[in-house]
Amino acid sequence: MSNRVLALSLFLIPLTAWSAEMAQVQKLLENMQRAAHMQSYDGTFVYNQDSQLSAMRIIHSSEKNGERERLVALDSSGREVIRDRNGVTCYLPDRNAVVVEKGRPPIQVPPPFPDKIEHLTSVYDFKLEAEEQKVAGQLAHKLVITPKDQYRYGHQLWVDKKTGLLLKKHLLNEQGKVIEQFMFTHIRYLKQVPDKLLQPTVDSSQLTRYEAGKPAKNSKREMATHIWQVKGLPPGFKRDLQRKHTMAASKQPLDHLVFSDGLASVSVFIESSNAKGHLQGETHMGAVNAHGYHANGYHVTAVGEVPQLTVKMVSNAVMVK
Amino acid sequence: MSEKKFEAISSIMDGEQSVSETLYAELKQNGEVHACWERYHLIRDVLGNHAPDKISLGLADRVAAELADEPTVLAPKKSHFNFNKKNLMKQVSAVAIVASVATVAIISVQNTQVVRQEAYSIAKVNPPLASSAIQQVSSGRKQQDMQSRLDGYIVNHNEYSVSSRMQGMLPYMRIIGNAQNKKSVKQPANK
Repeated sequence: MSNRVLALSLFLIPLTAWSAEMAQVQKLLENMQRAAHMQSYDGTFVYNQDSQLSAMRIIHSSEKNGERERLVALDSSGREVIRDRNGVTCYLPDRNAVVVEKGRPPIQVPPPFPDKIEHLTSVYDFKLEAEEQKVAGQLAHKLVITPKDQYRYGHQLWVDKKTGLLLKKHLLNEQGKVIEQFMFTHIRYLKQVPDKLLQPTVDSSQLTRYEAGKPAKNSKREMATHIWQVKGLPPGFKRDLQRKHTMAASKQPLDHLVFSDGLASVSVFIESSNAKGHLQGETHMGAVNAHGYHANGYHVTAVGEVPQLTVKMVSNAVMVK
Repeated sequence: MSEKKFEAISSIMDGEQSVSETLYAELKQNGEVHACWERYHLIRDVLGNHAPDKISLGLADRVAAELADEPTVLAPKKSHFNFNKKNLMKQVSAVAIVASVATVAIISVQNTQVVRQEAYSIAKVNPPLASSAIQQVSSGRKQQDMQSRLDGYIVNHNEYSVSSRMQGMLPYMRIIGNAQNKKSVKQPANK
């Protein structure tokens, strides 16, 4: 009997330690998500993808009426993105364009963490490193997230010990190679963000404005209301939502489906294939992969910060019923 | 751009050497070298917490004009922040700066198969005597349409992805960091 108790104890002790660590991880991720929406700050960071290094400034304001954010290039491209209750406005002077897209509906404040760690541990391993590191002068916890299969990327996150804000991140591909990274070099937490810091500095008077909204009058065909059948998703992925939308640039109606494994998301966009300028095949922008194809009068494009294999699989999983 | 050029720019910024005749000529005429020069300065400033609040869009052009007016040596002031490649690599956690500062489109269509397919369909549509310039324009337009559409997809994806819920606006850095036709790569007019 005592041997059985001993054996059970030997089994339970590491399990308890693992559960305690996972509880810490869950708390860290929850704090990180809360901080991303609830902290007000002004920071500068470097971003690297496809071996291209960029410097940017981010200003985030958490207010009674919601969030306001501004991300601005510190190089000469002049690009800026502003997010507020009116949506997402991308100033792209290098493209001579201002693109205004609808934002997601306001999130619950404080936002709930989307998933329980128990679900995430079926597809990822989590390791909270004991040693704290300094990023942008702030002490940070380091969390290493390793995928259990080839359908998702690995993450290394450095999270501000005091505020919970994500200060540095590495995204690793299937071979464990860093494919995208960012790191704050300076951050200032603010009680109140001066309004002028949230205003665009780009002179947009000469830029062409594209706004999301109603479909163009000459759009060839309205999207019929379809229930999309989904079969053969990569392990761990499930449907998050489905919505209808008309994009700013194309003015074509589309269906937008989002799939997620709790950390990574893949969006599938389905449009009439009569519209011009569809992606046929694959492409990528840093860690974001895309895959598109025509089928039965529709064009399907999947986009997500997951390996090419996964976007392809998700795009092929969606069929009209 | 070659590894040697990166090395040269890096050591100039570190005050270890002045601008050679060859590099000076390239800074005047080669947009890529010019962009690298500007970006290294900016990143040095950012890492040293000396980034300006606002960068004027005309910076590259002004630098170009200064270069054009500068008859001899362009040796930047030695910064108290020691900038060299090793230092930068250490500070940005082994960011692969040496590889490239080449500008890409907001979404680089890098799949050669896609490009080949497009070129093929255009060749079929256009009569054989159509000029290659026309073919390039229609190919460019197609690509631009596709990129605009992909830009829209990325924004909509960002809005509803778990990453944005967890990291706020940070995923938009992909849109900011992928500017095409950066003004800094404009080639100054030869005088």
